[in-house]
Amino acid sequence: MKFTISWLEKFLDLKGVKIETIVKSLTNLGLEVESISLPSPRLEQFIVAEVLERTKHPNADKLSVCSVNDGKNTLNIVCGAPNVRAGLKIALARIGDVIPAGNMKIERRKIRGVESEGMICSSSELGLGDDSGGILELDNSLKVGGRFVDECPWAYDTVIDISVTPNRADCLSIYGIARDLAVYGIGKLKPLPKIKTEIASCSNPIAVKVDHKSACPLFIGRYFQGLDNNAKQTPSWLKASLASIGEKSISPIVDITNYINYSFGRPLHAFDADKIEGGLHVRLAKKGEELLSLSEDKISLEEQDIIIADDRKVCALAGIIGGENSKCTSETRNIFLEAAVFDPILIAKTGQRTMINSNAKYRFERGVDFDFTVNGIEIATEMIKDLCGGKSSEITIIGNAISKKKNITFDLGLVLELGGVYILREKAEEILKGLGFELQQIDDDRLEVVVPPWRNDITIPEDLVEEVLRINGYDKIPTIPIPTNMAINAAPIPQKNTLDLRARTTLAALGFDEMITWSFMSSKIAKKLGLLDESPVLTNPISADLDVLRASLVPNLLSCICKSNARSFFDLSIFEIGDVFENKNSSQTKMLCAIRSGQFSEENIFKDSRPIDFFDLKGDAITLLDTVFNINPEMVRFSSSKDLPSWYHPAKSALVSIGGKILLGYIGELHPFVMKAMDVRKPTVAFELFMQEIPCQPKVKSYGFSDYQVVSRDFAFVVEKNIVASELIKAIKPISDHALIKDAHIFDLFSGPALGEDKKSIAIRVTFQAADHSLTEKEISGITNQITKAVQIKTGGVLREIYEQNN
Amino acid sequence: MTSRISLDIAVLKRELEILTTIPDVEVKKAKYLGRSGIITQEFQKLGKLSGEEKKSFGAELNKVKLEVADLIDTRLCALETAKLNSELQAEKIDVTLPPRERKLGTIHPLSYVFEEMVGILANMGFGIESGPEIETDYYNFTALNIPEHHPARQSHDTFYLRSETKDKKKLLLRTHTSNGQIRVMERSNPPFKFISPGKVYRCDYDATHSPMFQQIEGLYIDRDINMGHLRGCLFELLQNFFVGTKIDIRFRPSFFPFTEPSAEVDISLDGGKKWLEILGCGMVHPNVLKNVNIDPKKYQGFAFGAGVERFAMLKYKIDDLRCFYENDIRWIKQNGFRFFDVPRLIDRVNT
Repeated sequence: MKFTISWLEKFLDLKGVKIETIVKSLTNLGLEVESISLPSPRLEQFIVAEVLERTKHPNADKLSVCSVNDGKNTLNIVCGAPNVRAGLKIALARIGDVIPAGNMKIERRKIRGVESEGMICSSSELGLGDDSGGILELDNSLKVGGRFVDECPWAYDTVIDISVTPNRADCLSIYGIARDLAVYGIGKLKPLPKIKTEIASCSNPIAVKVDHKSACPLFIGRYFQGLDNNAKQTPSWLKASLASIGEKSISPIVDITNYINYSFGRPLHAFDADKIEGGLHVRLAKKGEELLSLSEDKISLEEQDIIIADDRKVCALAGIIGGENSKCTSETRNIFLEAAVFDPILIAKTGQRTMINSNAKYRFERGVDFDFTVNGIEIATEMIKDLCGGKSSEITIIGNAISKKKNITFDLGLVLELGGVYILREKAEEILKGLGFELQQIDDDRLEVVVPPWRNDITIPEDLVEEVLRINGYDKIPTIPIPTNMAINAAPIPQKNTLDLRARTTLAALGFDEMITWSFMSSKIAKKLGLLDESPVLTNPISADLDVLRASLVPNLLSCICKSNARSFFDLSIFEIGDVFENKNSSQTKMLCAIRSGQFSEENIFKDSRPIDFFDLKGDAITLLDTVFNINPEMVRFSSSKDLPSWYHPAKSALVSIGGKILLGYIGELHPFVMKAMDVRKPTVAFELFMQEIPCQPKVKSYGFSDYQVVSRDFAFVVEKNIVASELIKAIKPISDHALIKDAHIFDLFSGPALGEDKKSIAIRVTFQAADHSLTEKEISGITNQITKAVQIKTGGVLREIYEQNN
Repeated sequence: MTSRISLDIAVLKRELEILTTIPDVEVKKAKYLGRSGIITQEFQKLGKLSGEEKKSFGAELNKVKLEVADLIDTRLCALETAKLNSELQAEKIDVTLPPRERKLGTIHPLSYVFEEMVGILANMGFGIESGPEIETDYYNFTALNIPEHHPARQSHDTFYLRSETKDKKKLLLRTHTSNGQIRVMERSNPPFKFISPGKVYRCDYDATHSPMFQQIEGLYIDRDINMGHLRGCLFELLQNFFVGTKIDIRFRPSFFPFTEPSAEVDISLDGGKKWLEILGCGMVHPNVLKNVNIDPKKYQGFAFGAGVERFAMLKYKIDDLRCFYENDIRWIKQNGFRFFDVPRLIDRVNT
């Protein structure tokens, strides 16, 4: 909501109050100042002068020569404006002055042979609006020789833009802002000009009918006859005031309705009475009806829309926007002026559907001052008659012009109870009275409070507490440490709340960069990856390529890789922790996804350059599960499966589980078709983990360290090619002396014609140690025999030397 | 007859210094300490001596032997080291060649700030509760005292889903994390003191609005919690978060349908010249309490909601909101946190 200081001063005596004080106070009142635009100091040079005489320029048809009194001297000025005339008060730029528009410096010079000693300014030259049709005509009462900025404060105005919260409809009016400031101690509220009740000078030929009292509880109308609605009739101050808050001057009638709307938050609508066929009918629209609005949008009406129609057509979308077919133009002579109250919810619904955001709609959906409706039309009537002349009828009122009073029983103790600040009863009462609340004492503690009709937002005692606190100043609320209520504070935080951070830290240490991608993705990509059925669809996406919710973290992370590839970054390690969504139950699951793409190490002098592979990510996953969740790496099982998402390479991927029982996630190289679909150029391997499925084990702390000799033995077993490495390890583990085995790890693989096509050799190094003695050679050979036997039984594996002897 | 060893250590020292090869020193060693070396021969003389003399000569001889051995070994060692060093020169590397790469990753600044804030609040005694991101109209709006056509909804441009609940209710993406507060209050009894952090969504995208952003909302309901406590709580949060920076904090009236009275909190980092909006808060509206069957006559308390992006931008001087979600690897590397820059982990974790 924009307003100017001079406009505010119409309602508030601001003598001696600094702009900064006003600005600070507005914010403290909850009317947050968004911007301030100060007037141009360059206007200070101009003065008010009077045209004494106008004569035709001897050498030019369109120019005139004026003698102008600047209060001291009479100057000779050549002027090209058609509206310049003797007796007119004007804004004068003297020699040496600089015109704000175009930075033109006024010099003494001859124009077509006649010397000119200054310039008579137009609004646009002064930067006060786009009225370049002629010079700016000033009010005749102004003092000749006075500074323009002093005589015309509306021209030298500070514009303040405040953000009004949805509850404060009363401050969608400059008078309402003035009232708040006055109660806060800034300026003195001026009494409203006495509202005259017009005596009818003509009759109203337009009958009005209202169908639904709930949709339109009050409708007031007045007929005007014989008006002059030529744009010229709008005075400079009104044009300038509207211009400064960004409202275009249209015609006197429209300008006046806008003025009343901004001044008092009272929307009005003027119909060109001659365009109304028959009477006006306020009703709900019928399906199929249409309206071409003032802004020339065709609106298809629906049954919940309140409309104002005549006998033949829809003339306005009530409380929102007028129709092209009945709008006022400069030719309009007779009007029907409407001031009404419409149901806020119906207005809001129609507003949302039609996406029209008019000043009227904005106020009606927030709630207008019901009781001000008559005043609004009376103030407008006075202005219309002043500016446009003509006659006016009696007002037509349908409904009760005075609303039902709302009462709240208010216990003043609530201010301290909720606000934490003690405010004297007298002070609280003074605040409420100043805001327009009527108070009646019930007893020592309680008041019966009558809510003023402009405060539709006040319905409960808590609302009154806010009013008292607000005017008293939020800065007076004390700062009290929150209670140390042990019962609440001592509740432990579940460990799951720290797992994300631990995972992030671990992955960052492993070289991964964290990404946070949208929860949205493109349905096209979802389709390519076979995710479309699982992805929840948005009805109103922000853009076509963010139209579904992600069912996996993989696609958006691949998009990050693709984007980086396009910038020539190919070696990437990235991860994300976030929720993925599932369409069927509209549910969400927290996932972790880590991806490496490109080279593990770049080509280098050490000749160890190689691309990322499955085993890099396998190592990352195991480290993560071990570090973050305390899951013993030996418990993590990687098993090939057909049950993996489609984006994994079918032969280079695995399910990750704990012992095959608890599924933790997936790991694998990306399928070439996905690489192509997502335009990822380098080898890429990913793992995904279901964060909520991973059991977090307590960390095993007591571990007996043995100081006895560690012994290791290497075995090479020849097995069938289809035997996977983990089976060998699994075979070794349960042997009877397994407690002595500290570690068993595979260190070499071999296959070749020497072994036969269907065979391979796996070399394992097994480490032994006892807790309480050094192992004897006998013990060691006992274990190695057990190992050899167990491997043979479980996998068919034979020690390589024996195999080679036999083959 | 007393035999005394006639051996000048100083001479030996000089002799050794002249020798520059290991074989030469070995020769010298044999000459003194070898089987027929000078000192060995002296030892053989011991047998011929008796009593006191044998004892004193023996001791003297031993001392000399040790001294000689030490001198020769020292020299030998020096020569060996010199030889080895000269041989090692052949293995000289170019130390200016590039190193083997060590790649460390980064934590996203938003995650970092999120954890900072959660950590501070958790250590102030707030529990942590999360709620679903896909939500019904009731939990996101109605229960929070935002009726369907309230103008306040216009500031919550909501994403809707095509699918519905089983009982045909519209589904949407939550526009704030308050839905989680309602769900917790519905299923348990006051007092309540917890935060609900997480992602929220609004259908708006420009320089100052992101369609997805992160929020941390706090709730404290008990018998006598008032706005003074709200101030106290937020001062503690803000002072801990901006630790080391002098900040001024301002409360001003505002409006949220779910709080009454409501306030907006601004902070200033330049002594009050420029104020920056940082969060919204207020006393929980009695209608919200009634909606979760809490008697507003018995219980009251405050709620606040903070945007993680805003906190991150102010503390770490990030100018453009959009950078957080662009995932430009160059920006991430520059603005991300290192793994050891871990915000203080919550102290009250149940392990």
